[in-house]
Amino acid sequence: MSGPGDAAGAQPPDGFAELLPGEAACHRRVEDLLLGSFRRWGYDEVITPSCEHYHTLAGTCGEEAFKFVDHRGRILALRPDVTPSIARLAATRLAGVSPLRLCYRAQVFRSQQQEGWHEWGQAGAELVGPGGPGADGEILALALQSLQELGLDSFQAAVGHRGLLEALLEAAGLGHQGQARALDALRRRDLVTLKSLLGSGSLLGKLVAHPARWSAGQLLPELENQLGGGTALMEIHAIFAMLEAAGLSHRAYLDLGLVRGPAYYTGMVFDIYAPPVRRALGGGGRYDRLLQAFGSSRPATGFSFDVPALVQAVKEQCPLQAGGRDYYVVPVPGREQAAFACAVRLRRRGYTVELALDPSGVENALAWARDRGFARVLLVGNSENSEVVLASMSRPPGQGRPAGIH
Amino acid sequence: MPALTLALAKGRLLPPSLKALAKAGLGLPELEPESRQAVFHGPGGLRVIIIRDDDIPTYVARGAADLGIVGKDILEEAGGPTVELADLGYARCRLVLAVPQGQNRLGPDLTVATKYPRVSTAYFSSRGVAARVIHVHGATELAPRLGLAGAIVDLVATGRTLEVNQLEVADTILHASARLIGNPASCSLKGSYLWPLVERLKECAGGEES
Repeated sequence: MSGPGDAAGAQPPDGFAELLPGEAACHRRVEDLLLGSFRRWGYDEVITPSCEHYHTLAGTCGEEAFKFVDHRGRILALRPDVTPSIARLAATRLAGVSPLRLCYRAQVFRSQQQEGWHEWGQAGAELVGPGGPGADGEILALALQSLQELGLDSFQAAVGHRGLLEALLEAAGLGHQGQARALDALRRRDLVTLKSLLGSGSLLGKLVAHPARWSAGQLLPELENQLGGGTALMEIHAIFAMLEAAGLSHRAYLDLGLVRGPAYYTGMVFDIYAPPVRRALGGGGRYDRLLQAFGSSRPATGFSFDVPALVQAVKEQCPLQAGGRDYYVVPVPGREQAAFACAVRLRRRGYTVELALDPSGVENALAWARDRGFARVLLVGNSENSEVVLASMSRPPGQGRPAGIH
Repeated sequence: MPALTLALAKGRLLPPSLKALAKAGLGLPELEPESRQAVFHGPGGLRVIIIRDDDIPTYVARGAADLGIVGKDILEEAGGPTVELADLGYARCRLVLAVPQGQNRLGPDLTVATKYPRVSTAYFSSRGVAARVIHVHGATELAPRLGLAGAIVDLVATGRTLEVNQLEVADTILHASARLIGNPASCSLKGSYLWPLVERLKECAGGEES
């Protein structure tokens, strides 16, 4: 059997998606809403190149990148992540701006498929310059607030801290090598190996099982007791106090066993989950040493969201209103120019208008308009026009373009 | 909608897994040994599915199941983003490198037949051995006798199969037993239901066969 789909190149390459009308609109709408939230917090959008020098990605996620060679023999990589590009920018052309608040939306590419995909959309924000918990608290609160503004009502952040984790491993009596093995086990989420390293009775061993069982208010005094203070503990205290002040503390819990994939995190880290998505929607944390690769010692913190995962959560939790179509303008034979002029006038008034180019009869036009979700059909006749109302208008006239399309 | 889905493996892990569930007060009344049914509803909103063992990491990683019980050998081979929650202690066995009896040294041109290509490749490369790994789906122990490979990497419980096929253990790659695994998002979002169940299963699995 053969069909048009069998020809080489008739399908996109394995692991690369094409988003059709509707689906594409939904992705863009989610991105627009996120970027809108980021902007209200003072984050300016930047557009970084799709590819970077491979060595720019060293120590991050370069191994996962698609690589190619340019005409001078240099290795380039399609960005597997946007954070290294932002770090490069913050260390070089924007080195003088502090605090530097940047956000982005971009496609990322990985040579190893994730959930079956090589390419997907990310949207994120980065705060470069300030090193304290104030910046971390802002970044975490922004991530949570932007999900709230997207309309999600069920989501949770697991929040950890690299320094606090290291202090707990030390308190459990682990030496340098033991700590490295424990961190590796946590990165692989292997709690069996972790428990065998920690032995019984360690606080961390207790905390990695069902971390959300305790509120930060309950845990922090116990940690204070165990560790006798420390910078990391003070930072976590301050971050949770900020969430409390923002009315977001019910969205986060302390997960001290959290170790995120990229090795560059140095302080606070977080992952965000929302039903029905069965993987993290996104996450981030503090990466104070990433800019060193570009000769800068600026501390930084940030996060990114996985746009397809967000779209899945939004579809389930709070379906976005599809952008409504207002008028389908249909001429009787010979009145095409009048219909065209009429459509232009309506568009100038802010309506979404499509024009029937092919006079296929009123019945066909009505069926098509119904299928495509038009609110009204305008029949342009020889002497007068008539309107057929199919549904209510998506918005009152004169309101301009719908939100989300900029 | 079930509160939680637990995936169990068909085969040798099934009887001890069901025993642990029953002991935890989550027995499946409808389960009949010869039935082809794969989805069961247990008490307290628990749904149990019974599927192939090597599918369990996939189901759990993608969240089709919140929890799963699977051998460490399968889990290591899958290498997916699941949380390894507990060693349930039963179904103990070893993943070994086995060679024809009397051949105590590995030849320079080593070919190895195995159901575990990922684990085997990692094992040989960590030892600097250039081995060619041949992926087979069963009857691995026949491979050396039939000239398919010079050695095998396979799971050994008693060692009887190796003996019958004139093979002997050259090295142990890992000690396997039944592991309880979880989906990372479920561990977070369904935590208040999931973690107490993990504790109960851990307690009830102890003292099974070893």
